[in-house]
Amino acid sequence: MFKAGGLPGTLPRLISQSYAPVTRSSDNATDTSYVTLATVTVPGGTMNYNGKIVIEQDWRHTSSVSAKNLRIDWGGTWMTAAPVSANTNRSFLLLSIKNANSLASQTALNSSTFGSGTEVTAAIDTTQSVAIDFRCNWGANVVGEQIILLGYSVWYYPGNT
Amino acid sequence: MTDYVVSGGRSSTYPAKHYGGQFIGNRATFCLDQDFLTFDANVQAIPNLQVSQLTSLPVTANDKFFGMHVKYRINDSQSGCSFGTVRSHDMENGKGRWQFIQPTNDPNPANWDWADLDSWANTHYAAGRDLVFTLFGTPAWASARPTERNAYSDQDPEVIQYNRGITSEPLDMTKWDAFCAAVATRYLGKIKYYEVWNEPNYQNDGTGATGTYNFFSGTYAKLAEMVRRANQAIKAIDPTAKIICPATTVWAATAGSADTYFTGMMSAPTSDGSTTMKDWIDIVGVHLYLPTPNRMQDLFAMIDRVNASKTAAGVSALPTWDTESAPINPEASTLTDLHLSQFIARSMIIQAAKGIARTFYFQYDGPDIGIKGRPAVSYRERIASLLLGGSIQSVSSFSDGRVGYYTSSGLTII
Repeated sequence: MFKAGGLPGTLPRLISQSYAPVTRSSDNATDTSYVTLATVTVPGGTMNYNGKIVIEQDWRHTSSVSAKNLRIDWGGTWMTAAPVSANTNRSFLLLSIKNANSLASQTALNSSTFGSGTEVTAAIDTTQSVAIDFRCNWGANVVGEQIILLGYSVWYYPGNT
Repeated sequence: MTDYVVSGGRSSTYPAKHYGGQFIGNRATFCLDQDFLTFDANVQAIPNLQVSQLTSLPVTANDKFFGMHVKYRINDSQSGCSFGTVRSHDMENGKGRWQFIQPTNDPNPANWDWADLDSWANTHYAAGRDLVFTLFGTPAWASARPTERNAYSDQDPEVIQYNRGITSEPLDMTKWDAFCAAVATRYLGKIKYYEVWNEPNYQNDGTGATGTYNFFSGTYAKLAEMVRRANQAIKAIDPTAKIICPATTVWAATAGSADTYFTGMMSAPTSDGSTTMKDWIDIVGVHLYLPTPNRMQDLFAMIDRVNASKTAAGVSALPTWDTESAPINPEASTLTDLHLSQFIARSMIIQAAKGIARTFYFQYDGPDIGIKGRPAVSYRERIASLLLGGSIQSVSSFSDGRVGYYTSSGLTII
C-alpha cells in the first residue's frame, strides 16, 4: 500500500550503493576546488512525510597535515563538510536527512554537528528527483596526495505517514 | 572512451556502474565494461583499481592444454570430461610408481608388474591423448635410504611400516637407468613425455629432507643426476621423447622457497663434470596449487614468479606445464558446485592468458579432490570450448579472485 508521497511499506530500501573506489589525486593546482566524486539520485516521490535518507561513506586519504574536506550536498545544498583530522587515513561519514512533517523541508544529523548549536536544514522538494553529491577538496594545493571515496550506501527509511 | 571532462567540479558523466575511478585536474577516468578489452594508460593509472589486465591479446588453447589425472582404471574410458593430455602420477594403489612396477631386484622387465600401467597407457593412447609418465618412487631394494619416512609412508606413531625409502634416490644409479629404459621401451610410440620425480621441494631445501612428508629426500645434485640419466636412457630409445623437469610446488605471489629451489636444482651439477640439470630438460613442470584459502588472485603473480625463476635459471625459452593443480585448501569436496566451477574456470583462463602451455587437474576421480559427477565437469567443458574457439579477446583478474574475460558479446565476470 502506498503512503502519501512515499514508497510502500515500512522496511528500509537501498537506494544506491557502490564500493568501487574513486580516487581524487592532487595536482597541486586545482586541489582547493571541490570535486564531486560520485552522485546519487533519489527518485522523485521516494520520500514520504518523516521518511529519511541515511548515507554512509567510507573514505581513505593520505595521512598528512594538509587540510582535507569531505562534503555531501543534498539537492545542491551543502549539508556537511567533515574536516579530516591531521595525520589520519580513514574517515567514516554518516548523514541522516529527514523530511520533517513535510515533503519539501528537511532536518539533518551529521557527525560534525551532532550535539552542537548549529542547525542543518534544507528545503528540497522530494517529490522531484534529488541529487546527492559526494565531494571533497584540500585546504591548499598539495603534491602527491589522494582522497579516496572507498564506497557508500544510501538507504531510505520510510516515515509513518 | 572512459575519460570525461571535469568542469565546475563535476564530471560530464557519472557512470552508473564502474570498477574504479580517478579524478585529477580537469579529467575524470572510470574503468567501465568496455575497458576490459584493452586497459588504456589512463585506466591502468587509476589508483586503488581492484582489477589487473593479464592480457589484451586473444587467448586460445588447443586440446592438449587440458590435462587430467585419472586415479581409477575404471574411469579411464569415461567420456564426460574432455582432456587431451593425461598424467600418470598417483594412480590407484601406486601402480605407476617404480616401487610397484619393479618390486624386486629382478632385472628382466618381462617379469615386472605392468598391468595397471598397460591399461592406463593403452586406453588413453587409443583416445588420442598425450601421455605423461612420472618417473617416481624408488623401490626399497634400490633406495639409498630404505628406512626413511616420506609423504607415502607410515608416520609416527604408526606401528606397521610401509612405503619407507621411496622418496630417496637409488643407491645404484644404473638401476634407475634400467627402469627408465624399460618404461621407454615398453611404451615406445605411446608415452612421449617423461617427468622426472614429483614435488622435490616439498619439505626439502636442496640439501635433503626437512620433514617426514617429503616427496624427495636427496640433494640437488642427486636429482640433477637422475634427470640427466633419465634423459639419456629414454632418448636412446626414443629420440623424440620430451623430458619434464621435477615439478616444484609451493609457488607464491612473492619470491619464496620455490624460486630458490627451482634455480638451485637447475644449476645443480649432474655428475658428468660439465652439465647442470637445465641442460637435460625440454619442458618446465610446476605445480600451481594456490596459497590458502585457494587464493585465485595470487595465480597470475605466481606465474610471474615462475617466469622470473625460469629467466634466472636460463630456461626461459622452454614451455611451462602446470602438471598438477586443484583446490586443496579447502578441497574440492568441501566446495559448493558454484565455487568449484568458478575455481576450475578461473584457473584455466588465467593459465591460458599467462602462457602456461598445459594444465593438469588433480584428479578427475580423487576422493576429496575429484570433479567426477559434479556440475563443474560441464562448466569446464564450456570454458574449454571458449578457449578452443579463440573467442576470448582479453583476460583480467580481480583482487578478490574473480576473473573477467571479454568476448564479442562483451564482458563476463566469473
